Amino acid sequence: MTAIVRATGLVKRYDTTVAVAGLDLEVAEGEIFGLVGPNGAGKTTTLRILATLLAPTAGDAEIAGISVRRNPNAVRRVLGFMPDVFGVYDDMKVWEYLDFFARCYGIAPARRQQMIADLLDLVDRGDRRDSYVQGVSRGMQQRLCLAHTLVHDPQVLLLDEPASGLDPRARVELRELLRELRSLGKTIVISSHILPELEELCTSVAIVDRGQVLAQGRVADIERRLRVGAVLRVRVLGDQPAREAARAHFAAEPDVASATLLEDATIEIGFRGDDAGTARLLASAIRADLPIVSFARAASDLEELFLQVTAREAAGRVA
Amino acid sequence: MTVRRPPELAGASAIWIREIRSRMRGKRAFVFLTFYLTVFAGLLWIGLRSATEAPLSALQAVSVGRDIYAAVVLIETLVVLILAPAYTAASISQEREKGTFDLLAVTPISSLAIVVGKLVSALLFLAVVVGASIPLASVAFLFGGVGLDDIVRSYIVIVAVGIGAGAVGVACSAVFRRSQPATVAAFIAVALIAGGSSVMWFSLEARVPEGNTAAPPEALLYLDPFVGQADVLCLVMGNGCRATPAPRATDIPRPAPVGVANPDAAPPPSGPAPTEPGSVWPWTVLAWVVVAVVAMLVAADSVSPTRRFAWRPGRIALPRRPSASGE
Repeated sequence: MTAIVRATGLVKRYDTTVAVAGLDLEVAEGEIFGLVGPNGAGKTTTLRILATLLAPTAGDAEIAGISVRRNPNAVRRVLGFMPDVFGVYDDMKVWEYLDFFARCYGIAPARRQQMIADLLDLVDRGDRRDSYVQGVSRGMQQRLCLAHTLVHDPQVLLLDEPASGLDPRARVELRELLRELRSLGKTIVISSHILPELEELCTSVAIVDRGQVLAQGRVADIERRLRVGAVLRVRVLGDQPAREAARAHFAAEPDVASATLLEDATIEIGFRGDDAGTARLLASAIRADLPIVSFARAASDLEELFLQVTAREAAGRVA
Repeated sequence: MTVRRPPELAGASAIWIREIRSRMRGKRAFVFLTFYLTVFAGLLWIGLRSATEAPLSALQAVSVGRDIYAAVVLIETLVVLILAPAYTAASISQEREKGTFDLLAVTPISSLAIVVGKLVSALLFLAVVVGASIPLASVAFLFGGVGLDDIVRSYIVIVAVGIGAGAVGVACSAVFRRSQPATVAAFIAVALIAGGSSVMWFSLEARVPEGNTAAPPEALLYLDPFVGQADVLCLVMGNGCRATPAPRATDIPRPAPVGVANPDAAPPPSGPAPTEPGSVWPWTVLAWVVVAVVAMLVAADSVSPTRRFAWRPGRIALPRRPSASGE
């Protein structure tokens, strides 16, 4: 797939502080791409540069092949941006809010009314059309802000911490909405420091710290690159001596670095082998007539991965 | 025939429609308008009562009409000078403070359209305020002595001053991040532009030695909207009325003009030639239009760091695109 968002050597310096330090990024078309990083990592600055709100000190970025520095106005036509902190206009109704932005994008009057109705349906708030924006809930304002990014049908959506301040139910609704937008062909770049949220949603991520991308790609790919092996979780039937015998069997197998019997009757295996090795390990367990209930590679954990990547980086700096 | 709007101003209407809609929706605008008109009408009523206690001759009635007109015009000029920056000085900074500006700045609407939209929305509300007081000004017609053309001239000056002072407010709002300093700066800037030029003229004039007819350039006074309005009023008043201070008389005799046969019959003029009534106010209008244009350019350039004019220094060089040959 072609990259629809590309940043090359992006730098943003404020006096003595470097917020973004030579960041490179590529987001393929149709992805939900997560920017993962701690507070102050440079996620918001990167998104604001991509959204043409900040000029980079050096480097450049392109959205749909258009340079944010050379032609910011054309970039504004192909992207929608939702900042992490945003306000709402006073004394303005929900439909007027969307109508205002539609006018800003030069949407023809004949199209505006239908477009507003469609967007309110999309964010499931058609019934609040005549409510005042400042009077609706925070979750509704988030949805409305998201709806405003769509008035001109952009190719790319840049969402900075879109779920911050939302209750769990509103978060689930927002996730569903973002998936629906992806199915409509939008590319979504989303930043967050709440990793489980991104893990469920994103097709690819970039782990950002100190203004640089430390790792980028699909979560499973990053994991494959970073880890020497994998963690396998095996559940066996039987009493404690039977489980202990199973653990001893696995511990004696080649490529097994460790085999630990956990309290929930699961054996966690540190495995150095590849997929073929994993298959051989399972076949050997079956031949040994071990009562296996489940045998699986541990699911990727973005939080763990993030800690691993940032720890490596910190160790590299110390070295 | 359709009039094509310049592309730089596309979207400005979105801003002023939104602002006017919000402004006129609450009670505040109507409470203010009622208060303003009540105070204005009250002052006018007091003035009228004291002027018409005794029966007036036709000539006295004309004089009262002109006085009423002069008072209304000068008060409205002052009101516009105060309200225009008051309504515009927080127009952009407040959006930044409330967090709505980023949403606006990522739209393709131009900086010029943003600042023009802000200015127009404030001016439309000012037009409502000034327009609502026109019936009060027309009381002068009851007494006579004031023509429609006089009123038109006065309102041209008021409109120009409103545009200029409003534009200064928008510029301050764009330059300063916060509303409070923006408002203070806007009032100081308008006061300096409107009154500073007159203060400068009088301070320069005070330094001219006694007996010297040289005076500071009168053009300095053109920025003072009250001088412009006084010039319009002088057209109404007649009787040698002049908007700018009279030139100094001097005892130093001047040589008789060439071609005058009898110097006693045509005494040499003392000091510069007096300004004709009606010649100052067009300059006042022009000066405030220039102020407005400069202020709007400053505002458009300062509204966002990624929307600066191309000529602005400090722009960094873009990285070179690789050429087709790969060099």
